[in-house]
Amino acid sequence: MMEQLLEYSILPLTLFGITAIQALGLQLILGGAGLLSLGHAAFYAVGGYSAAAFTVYAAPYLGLSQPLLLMLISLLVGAGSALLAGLIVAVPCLRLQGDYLAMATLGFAEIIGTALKNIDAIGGTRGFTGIPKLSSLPWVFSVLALVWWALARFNRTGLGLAIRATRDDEIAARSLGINTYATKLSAFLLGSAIAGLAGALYVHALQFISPDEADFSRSVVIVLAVVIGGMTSLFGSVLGALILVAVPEVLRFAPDVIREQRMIYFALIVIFVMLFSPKGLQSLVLRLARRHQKNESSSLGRRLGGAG
Amino acid sequence: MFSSQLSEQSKILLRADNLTIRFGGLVAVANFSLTVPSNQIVGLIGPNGAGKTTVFNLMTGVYAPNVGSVFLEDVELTARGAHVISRAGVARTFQNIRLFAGMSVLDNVLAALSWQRRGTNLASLLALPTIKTREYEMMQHALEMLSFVGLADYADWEATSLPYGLQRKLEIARALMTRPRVLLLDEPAAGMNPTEKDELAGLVREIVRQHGLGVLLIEHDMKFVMNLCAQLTVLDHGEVIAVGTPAEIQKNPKVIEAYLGADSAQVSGADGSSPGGAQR
Repeated sequence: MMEQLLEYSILPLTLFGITAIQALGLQLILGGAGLLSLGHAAFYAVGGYSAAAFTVYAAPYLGLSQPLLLMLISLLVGAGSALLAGLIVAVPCLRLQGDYLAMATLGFAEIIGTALKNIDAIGGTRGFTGIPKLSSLPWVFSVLALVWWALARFNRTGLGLAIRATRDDEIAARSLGINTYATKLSAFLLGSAIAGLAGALYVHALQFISPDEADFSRSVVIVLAVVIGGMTSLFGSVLGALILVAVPEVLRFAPDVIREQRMIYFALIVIFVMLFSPKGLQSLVLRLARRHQKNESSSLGRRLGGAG
Repeated sequence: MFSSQLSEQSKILLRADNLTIRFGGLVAVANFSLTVPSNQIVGLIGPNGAGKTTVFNLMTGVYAPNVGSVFLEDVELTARGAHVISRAGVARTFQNIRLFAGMSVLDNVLAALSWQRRGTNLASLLALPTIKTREYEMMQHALEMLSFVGLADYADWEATSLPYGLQRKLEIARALMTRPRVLLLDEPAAGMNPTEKDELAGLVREIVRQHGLGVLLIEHDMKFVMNLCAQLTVLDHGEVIAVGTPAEIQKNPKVIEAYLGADSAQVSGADGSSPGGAQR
């Protein structure tokens, strides 16, 4: 019984880890740079397909068979190809603002999805099968931890600071010498590359990928994870991913009528979050944790100082 | 006290020649020329809607002029990107304060150094020891700048939670971090009480004294402007109507007319109060 439960939990946990990596990538684009990309899943799919094509077609040709090495290279291939796809999309799109940027990324994502459906060598609409099993839960969580740590550090680098400054006020950022276009481009490319990492992990864990992974609905799920968890924090994105993966898993045990309305529950969660915790569930969690500590003194001192 | 006379080392830094910009059919600024010398504070005044901020936007690359040019010494800045102009040495503040709202006071100031850290990103990502010294130096520099403008105690505050007057000072600190040669201040004293205004005037003088900057100032408070500026340019309906020393400008009938209307031309603003005050 215990063994079965453990075995059962491997797939949802893997999917959680992969969604969390995707969400961390989008957090940099959406929360960090303030750019609404509705095509994040497309970069993920490009990364996944490229990594799979590499291990299936290129690796035997190159005589590579050592699994660890192969997986490491396929991660690089996944990230690199997603970065390249991001570059093609971002160079024209980042001249646009707000809603227009969202629409343009959505359009490009559709193009990528349609292209994937029409390449026979990678399975077309049937999906890409026969991918060797190279990654697993430990791989997924190691990469998740690495990405999380790296992004936390990245936020403190000059570029990380420039990204947030550009998000807060582009005109002010430019007046300080920040090249805002290059800054937004870097955020977009880095976020896309991280999605590519997730794609490479996915294909080698599930040994399959279909063009559905590039679908708009997948992109929406990642946006939801970032928004529900809290756009401005890395922890929030991981928390959001957890919720987005856990809700359907829990609903698996519910009757059909309830289970099939997945998107309605997400909508309700979003409304709840926007009403009661606009900074995402992470701030709710942190507030609850802080209430335990009851550390009022510092905030009081700050308020007194603010009177002057 | 008055920095009226040009000091010996003074030379022309920023030069705007004949700037014109049209928005659709509206000529917002026409044939605008002005020079900002080093070691000096010059003022740009005029009634609301005269086009003063538009002039700033033309000189800092937010807008590209239809006609005319901007030079910093021998370097042409006309219609270059705003970030290029900033790097060349022209910094500015904003009339409607533009701080980075989600960031701390310290980070607001550090943001001005962010692009100078290019190439150090990977090193700081990996927390290499080489970067520690440099990060420490930057932090030190930022904190010194904050204490220079009197914000040392507020480093970890959220920028927009500062009182209004301090937010204006933070904008000045942030602009100074770019190590400018010319500083453009857009209504720096707006919303300040008399004490704060005096402090600010002292700060601006100190900036010029320490760094030999040229400062161009837009301000509505006439007392403030008359005290600080060696030279004034008056703008009305997008056109320069007068140039001269504060004393000359105060007596200029065209200026008085622009501020108070044709009938009030004999009213003098020489008591040093704002023209709005003189009307009463």
